[in-house]
Amino acid sequence: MWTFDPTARLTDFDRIPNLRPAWSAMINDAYETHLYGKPNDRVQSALEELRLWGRSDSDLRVYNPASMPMPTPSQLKNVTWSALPTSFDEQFSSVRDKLTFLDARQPFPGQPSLVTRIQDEYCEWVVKRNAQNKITGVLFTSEPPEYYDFLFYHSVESRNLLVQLYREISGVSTIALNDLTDSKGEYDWWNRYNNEHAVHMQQPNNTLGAQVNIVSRSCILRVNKLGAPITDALGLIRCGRYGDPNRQSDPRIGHAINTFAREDRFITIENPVGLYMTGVDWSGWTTPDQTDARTFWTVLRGSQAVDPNQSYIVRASYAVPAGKGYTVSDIRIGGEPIDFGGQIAARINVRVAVMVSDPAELPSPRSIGCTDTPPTPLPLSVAPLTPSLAAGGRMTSRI
Amino acid sequence: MNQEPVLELEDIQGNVVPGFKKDSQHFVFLRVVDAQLAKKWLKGLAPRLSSAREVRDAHTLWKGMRRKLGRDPDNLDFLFVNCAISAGGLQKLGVPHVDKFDDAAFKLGLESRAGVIGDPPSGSGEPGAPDTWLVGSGRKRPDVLVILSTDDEAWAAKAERELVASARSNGLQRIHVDRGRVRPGPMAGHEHFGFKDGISLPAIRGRASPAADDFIEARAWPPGAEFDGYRNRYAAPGRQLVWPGHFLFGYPRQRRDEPEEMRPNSEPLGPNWAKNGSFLVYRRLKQDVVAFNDFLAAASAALRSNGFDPNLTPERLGALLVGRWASGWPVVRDPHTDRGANQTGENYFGFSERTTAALPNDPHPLNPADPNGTICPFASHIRKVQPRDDGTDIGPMERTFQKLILRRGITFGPETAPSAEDRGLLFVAYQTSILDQFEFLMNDWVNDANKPHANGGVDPIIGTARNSTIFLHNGSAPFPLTVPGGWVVATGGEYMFAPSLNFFSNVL
Repeated sequence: MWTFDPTARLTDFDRIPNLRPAWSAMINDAYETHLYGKPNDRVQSALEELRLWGRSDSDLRVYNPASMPMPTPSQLKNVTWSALPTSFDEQFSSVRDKLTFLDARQPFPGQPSLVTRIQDEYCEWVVKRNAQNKITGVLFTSEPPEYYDFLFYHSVESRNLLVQLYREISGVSTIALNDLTDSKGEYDWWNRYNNEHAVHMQQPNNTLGAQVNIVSRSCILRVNKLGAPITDALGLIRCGRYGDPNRQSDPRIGHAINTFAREDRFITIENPVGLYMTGVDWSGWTTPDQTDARTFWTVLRGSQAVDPNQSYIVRASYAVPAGKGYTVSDIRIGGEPIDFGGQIAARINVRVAVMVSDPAELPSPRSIGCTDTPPTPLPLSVAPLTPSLAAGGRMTSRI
Repeated sequence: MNQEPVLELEDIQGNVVPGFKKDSQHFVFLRVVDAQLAKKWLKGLAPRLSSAREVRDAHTLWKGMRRKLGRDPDNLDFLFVNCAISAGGLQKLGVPHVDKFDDAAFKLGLESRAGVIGDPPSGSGEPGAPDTWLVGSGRKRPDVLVILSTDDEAWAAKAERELVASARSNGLQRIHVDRGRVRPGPMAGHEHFGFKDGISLPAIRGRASPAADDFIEARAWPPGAEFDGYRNRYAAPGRQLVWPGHFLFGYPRQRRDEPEEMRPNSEPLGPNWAKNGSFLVYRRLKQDVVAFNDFLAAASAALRSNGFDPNLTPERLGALLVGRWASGWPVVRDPHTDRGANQTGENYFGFSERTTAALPNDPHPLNPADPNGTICPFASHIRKVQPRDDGTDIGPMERTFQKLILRRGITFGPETAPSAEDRGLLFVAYQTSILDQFEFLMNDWVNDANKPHANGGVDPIIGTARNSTIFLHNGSAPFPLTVPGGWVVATGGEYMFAPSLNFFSNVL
């Protein structure tokens, strides 16, 4: 039986019986919601959109590995981008202004009452400064908020684990459950300790749900109003309205998935589902005492491999020990002192990985129009799935 | 679509636009020893500096003569002169507001930034470390660069002698001279590894006069609706149209994902006097031709026997590493046969998407879609530095337009020599953000194995990694290839600013 591992293969859930299967069920639920839709959910699923155009699940090339056996062979394919956002570049004429903006929490566009970390490339950071305004450390997180939502809402025991994790991660032993909740008693992503310690991502769209949604919906083949295939990254994300076109990551992920789907490959997100920092590019870093700059990088949760495509880093810090006699701001990258956390983020890559099958011997998936186009009848030209691939698969029941 | 601005060609230095394109180019590096004298000398240089208008007119005249004669004219030549100044030089000369440039790389200089773009650190003893450079590090950091360019080698040499003598008696000291030469005969336009260079250059948007269609870069698409999708983004096949603010101060840049649109108030930040100027990146790159060819011979033998291609030649392997055959013909349009030089379609191709409409007089197969790098490897040099229609780590292909640079390099050194001999490329490139253009290309794309394509590998030609792995494909089957690298090593360079002519006359 298929099991979805915890993000980054973290072992926190092992402390409580049955938490792992519950997490696996939750990820399964995310797949079902974003791929197929569930009653009363508020998500536009891939299948629901296809059906508006008279298509079916035979036109989907992303699958839930808990419902359909992974085709053999399937290869791991990564999509990589920089942790430093570029979405806001045009708001600032100077690099310094941009980095100042990115280092601080900001009103969320379209929802100004929400003040949040604004870093939008599935990696967020918090900068720690001393009384002289020098950076003493930067905390980075790619942990999805769903992980902590899950702990809060699952059971009394898991809530206790949530508090325990907060204490361990922040080093603040006095944290209590009500420190983590809002006035309605709900888990608050923007609680003081997450704000201060970057326990998990809080930018509203830096979520596993967004990841599953983008992957699920970007596999849909699209045509423009003239019936011509849309195949470029920008055209696809504007047409399919998955993710944020201003990011580096979302258009790139969508384009990669759609390209695989056009090649008639079957795609699913790597298990464990997550978005991962892969490491730091140390080119050109120098420290005042010639200590290797990478000495001060610590992976706190997840794992770092020699091959960055095998890294599963979800929490890390860059900090100089107090006894060193200097700070992070005294370290230079290419001769430039580190004045902002964003300078380090610019050297961090983030990745998402998918498992991709060989091209299937199936009729190609059929295309649909764009989300801003009223669904119109399109030719029905695809044959049903071949029995060998569909056998036992979720897709059989949906044809 | 916005109307393209009129560029002040009388005020822009001619190597920025349209580029000198001469067979001999001497790069004279000077240090300021007496700021007042040097300032006066540089001011006096103003009338000798070749403006974009003059160089453009000279090219027009030369091309007209060639048309008339049916061959290259042998008695029509020009001596073009341009000048650039480093941040340190500007400071020494007392030029105000240098700090207003929003480019830390320029202000720090190449020596400080060398590590970021992959050069080994000083003190490491490794080739390419700044302390081994002939120019650009320690006491050899230049303040001023004068470029002398002509087709006549003797004229260039004479001009160099005169210039150096004049500079010496006017508060400047000669640090170093590089003498670039286009290679002779059939190798003209080819770099020392043998590959045709300079085929794919971006086209600057802008007009030479208020006339609506007096474009600086001619729009050279053939008639036909099948090419209409290209016309607003490409001046000619494969030549992206880039808003001038990416190459020149004082002009607008592209709206984020809309190459057809300029963004109001997007002029690059800098002092007022920076208008019509451009950052110049100079890299003296030594090429180890013998080691490169030895690798091609050994690696192709290995790949012949491991199932990749029993008929693989060193020439084809070289083409796979570069992305073009030695002639310049793109691998993605034919990975097995070099279709020869100067073909109509040599710059007409994409990578991700297949091309469907053939150009007139372009009989060769068009490129199929190669989204997985199985025809033209993701690591190939041209796919790393100019990924064209590929989606990349920064998002849609439309953002690649803003990363492009105007390359004006030239080869140097003898034709045949042992591997230790000093020959290679004098890399020259213009842009308005060294951080976001040259350094981005080097750090993020050339030297990162996972950008612009995850698992793509580092650039096997100019990447600084040693013993990295790239993947070639036979069909869909990947074949790993260990690339020792180290064939292209920096032996000098500096980040400089090529100001307007007005700067020399009225700001200095």
